[in-house]
Amino acid sequence: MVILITSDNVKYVVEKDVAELSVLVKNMLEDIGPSDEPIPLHNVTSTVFNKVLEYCIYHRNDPPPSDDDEGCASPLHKYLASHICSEWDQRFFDVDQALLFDIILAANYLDIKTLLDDACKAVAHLIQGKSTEEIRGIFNIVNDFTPEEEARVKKENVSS
Amino acid sequence: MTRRQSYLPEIPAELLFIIFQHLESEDLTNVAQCCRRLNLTTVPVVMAKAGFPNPEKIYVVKLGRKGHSDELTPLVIDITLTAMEKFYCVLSDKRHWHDHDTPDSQIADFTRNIRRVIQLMSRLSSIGSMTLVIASWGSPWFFGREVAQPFTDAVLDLVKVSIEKSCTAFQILHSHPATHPASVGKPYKFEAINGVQVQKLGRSLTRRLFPSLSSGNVDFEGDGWRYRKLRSPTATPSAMPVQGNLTSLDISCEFLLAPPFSTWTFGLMKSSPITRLTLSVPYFVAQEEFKLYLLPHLIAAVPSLQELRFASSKIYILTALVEKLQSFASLEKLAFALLSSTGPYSATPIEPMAEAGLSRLLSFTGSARQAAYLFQRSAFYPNLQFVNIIVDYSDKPERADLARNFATLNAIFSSRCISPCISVCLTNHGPRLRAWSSNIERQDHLQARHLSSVSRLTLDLPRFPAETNEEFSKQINTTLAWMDMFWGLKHVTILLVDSASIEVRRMRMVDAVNAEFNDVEVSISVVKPSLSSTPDNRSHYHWSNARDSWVRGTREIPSMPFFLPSAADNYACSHF
Repeated sequence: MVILITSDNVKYVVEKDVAELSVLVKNMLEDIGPSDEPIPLHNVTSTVFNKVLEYCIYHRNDPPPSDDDEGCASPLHKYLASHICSEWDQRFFDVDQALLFDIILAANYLDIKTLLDDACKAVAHLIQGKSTEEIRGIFNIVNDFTPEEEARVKKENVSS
Repeated sequence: MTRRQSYLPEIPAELLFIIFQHLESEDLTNVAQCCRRLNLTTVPVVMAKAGFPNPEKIYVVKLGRKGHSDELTPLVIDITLTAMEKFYCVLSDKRHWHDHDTPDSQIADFTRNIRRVIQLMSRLSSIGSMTLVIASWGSPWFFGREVAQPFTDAVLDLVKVSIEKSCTAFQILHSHPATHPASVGKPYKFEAINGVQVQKLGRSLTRRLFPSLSSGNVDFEGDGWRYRKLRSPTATPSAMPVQGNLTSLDISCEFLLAPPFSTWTFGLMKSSPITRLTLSVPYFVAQEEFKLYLLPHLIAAVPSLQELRFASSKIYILTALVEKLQSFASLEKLAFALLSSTGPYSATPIEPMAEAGLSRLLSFTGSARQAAYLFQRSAFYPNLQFVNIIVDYSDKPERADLARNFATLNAIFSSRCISPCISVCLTNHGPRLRAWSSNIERQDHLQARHLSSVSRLTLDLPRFPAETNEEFSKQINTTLAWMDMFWGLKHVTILLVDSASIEVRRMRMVDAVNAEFNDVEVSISVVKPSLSSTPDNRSHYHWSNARDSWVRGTREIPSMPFFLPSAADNYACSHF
């Protein structure tokens, strides 16, 4: 068992194989050697870590991702991979955006490649097939182009 | 619950890139138009996806249809782009051809896309060189149609904007099925007023087809010639060209060399310090028309021309040009496109024209026949240093012809006491070169005497598959047999097809040549197997021996994946 402490001082006792899905934790465990010392996760709050943990426990038995997947995958394969998620994943990522982006940041910090990829895929899914206006609406993006840039961008929209 | 914060633009760029990996170009284009930060991060990704990591240096744009984003879209919305060194813009209707398209809708599509390019260009601070390729394979070209006017206006505007952005080199290639009966045709008719009426038959036909054309309907007139409009309405240039810094101009575009646009084109040449001109004379230009109208105006329009590359499929156009070549007093470099027709330039011996000198001419590139004609007809060319002869199969040279033309050249050079460096590039002969090589006989060696003036030779024998060592030995023997024909050789370039054993073969070839010709310097140029010539796929081409105006005009455009591969710079004799 591994003891992890989030930034808001919540203590988690996690099975080792689950905790080691995080490369950060895995490296730290290797560094400190066998010990009961709790590991602090400075950049992750308990709200976010609950989700991360949920994901790790569900995916604990998945085969590890291999790096050369990208190279040999056929376009169809890639398409399917980026468009089809399991039902569980879909429900898992059906959260408000603040949490979704916090998951991305946490996955990046904890170095959990599959979670990072899946969360990014979920964001991409929100963008796919949407117009510029719709994307702005979905993500609350403030249009900060200068009037000149704006005119240019608009013109291209009209002409194409 | 209210959330006024936006998270997407705030996350680190490396995480944005992971998200972008899951998006297609079309989605990315939409993201890029959301806000500045997303624009800055997405545009490079879209560019890289399209294969253009550095848009400021070179950009090839292949424009798409209405309602689709294409390579131009990310450029247009790239807020950081301020200048371009080289801008290649390729518009093709080959890309998206739909059954419901009409010629009119195709032309309108070109017009819309040219306007988009102009819009992009107008916000840049400068453009180094601009190339506009319009490939209308699918659309028959009607200049009498209403859609022609907006199209020609857009093309002329694009030239104007390029010049305003201090562009120094402009190229336009308008490629369309010229042989199509419903294509451009002639929008006008040329007549010499004094002297023989040109194409009388054509005129009576015209009267029958266009009864409304009254005999008094003369549209353009000058020094003994006049043009009549055949079609009505015909597009006309809307404004005259502006003053600019163009030094290089490449026109392979029929409508720009036909009235009423020819007036505009000559105006463009006059208002710029043109020193380099590449010109393809349209197939429909008649001899008289070239002599009386096009050529004199050309001479007046580019007085300080230093480099001329000239293409015409008609011998009489080339000979008419040679007659007046001395009028380009500063001409240093001259290249002719090889003709595909056979036959001598003149049945009678060619007399030099008195006073017809090319006093500044340094180099000539073309076929042996063209060189023989040019240098016989011109009286003097004291500065001539380089004569580059391309012996291409498409020119259908016979070995005897080649020897005869060289005999002529040698005689004329020695009588004028000059000895330019003569290079020969033997290429694109397919199996024929092998046949040529296999029966070199004694008589050929007598002819070979005339080839002794050649000091540099490029031998393109890559159609030898050379898969076995036996094949390769044959290639070595053929190479040696060919070199044996050129007694005065100082340098030879041999093309070999890349293979696993290329290093061994390179050494074998060099050793074999050195053993027999120890005074000849050898260089080996390795070509990709995909570029090796087969009879149908001629890939070793220079400007002069490119198959047609399309290949001539696009050979220097990098990465045109949906057209023929560009073979430029693949050969050691690229100076041709």
